[in-house]
Amino acid sequence: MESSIYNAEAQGHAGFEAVHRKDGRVQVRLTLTLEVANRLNRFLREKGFRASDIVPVLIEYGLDSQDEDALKELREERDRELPKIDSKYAVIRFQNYECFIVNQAIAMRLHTLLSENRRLKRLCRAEGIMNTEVKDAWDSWGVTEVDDFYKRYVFKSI
Amino acid sequence: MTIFSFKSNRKSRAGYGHTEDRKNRVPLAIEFIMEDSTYERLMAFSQASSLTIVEAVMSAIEKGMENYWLMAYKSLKQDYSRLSENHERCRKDNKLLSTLEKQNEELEELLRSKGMGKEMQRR
Repeated sequence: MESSIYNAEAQGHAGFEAVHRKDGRVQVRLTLTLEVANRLNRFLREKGFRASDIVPVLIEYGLDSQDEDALKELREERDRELPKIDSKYAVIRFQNYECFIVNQAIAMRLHTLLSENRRLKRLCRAEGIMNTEVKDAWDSWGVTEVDDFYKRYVFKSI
Repeated sequence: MTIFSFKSNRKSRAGYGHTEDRKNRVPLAIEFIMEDSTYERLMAFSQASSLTIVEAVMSAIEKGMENYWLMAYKSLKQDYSRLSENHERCRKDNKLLSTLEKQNEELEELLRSKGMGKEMQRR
């Protein structure tokens, strides 16, 4: 607990204490009534979750579940779309991984590739064997663009 | 997670009661960390629905459990949408980077075919 408790409440057996942390998140100590605790415990056992991982998610899910009309619409959409998304999801994830790995390998050599490209083009133009008016996207790439590729593919894991 | 207290659904029996106790224990108090935005939403929900914060958080947990698979679908959909955008960008970058790599090979080959292999190495 990094700062003072600013919200504490107790109702019979239930209670809620929240403390703002320096990282901008909130540490919560929650005491549940036996009835809710039993239901939560059953849920945790069935799904194999740990309480500290899933309770913040359940709170978010609960807050998102307030509009009954929206829930009904979402239910209909799920019944319609889930099989489609389900079949595409694994494929696109794998394709994305493959693409990322290739880009990572090229991005690591990007600075060298660009220097080599510019040197070869200079030679070709000097010998008159290349149209000088033709421009490629990477002709204007500088440090910023190279850094962007590094950030996207080298200093980041998929 | 910190479990502060447990309540057993069954009485423990001498000798092997401890194991049964562990299986049936019920957390009465848990500690967890949530995003500040979720906390603010929780406060707003508590005020809007005239519930105490404890009632609000328990109501949210119960609703969350009730609609778990539906909300999991919503998250999957958002994740899929992000993944698709990411993949599209990755594919475009891949096209550019691969073309650059290929162009270098073609230019080298072109210069070599014009008998400029030595020039290429010299400059």
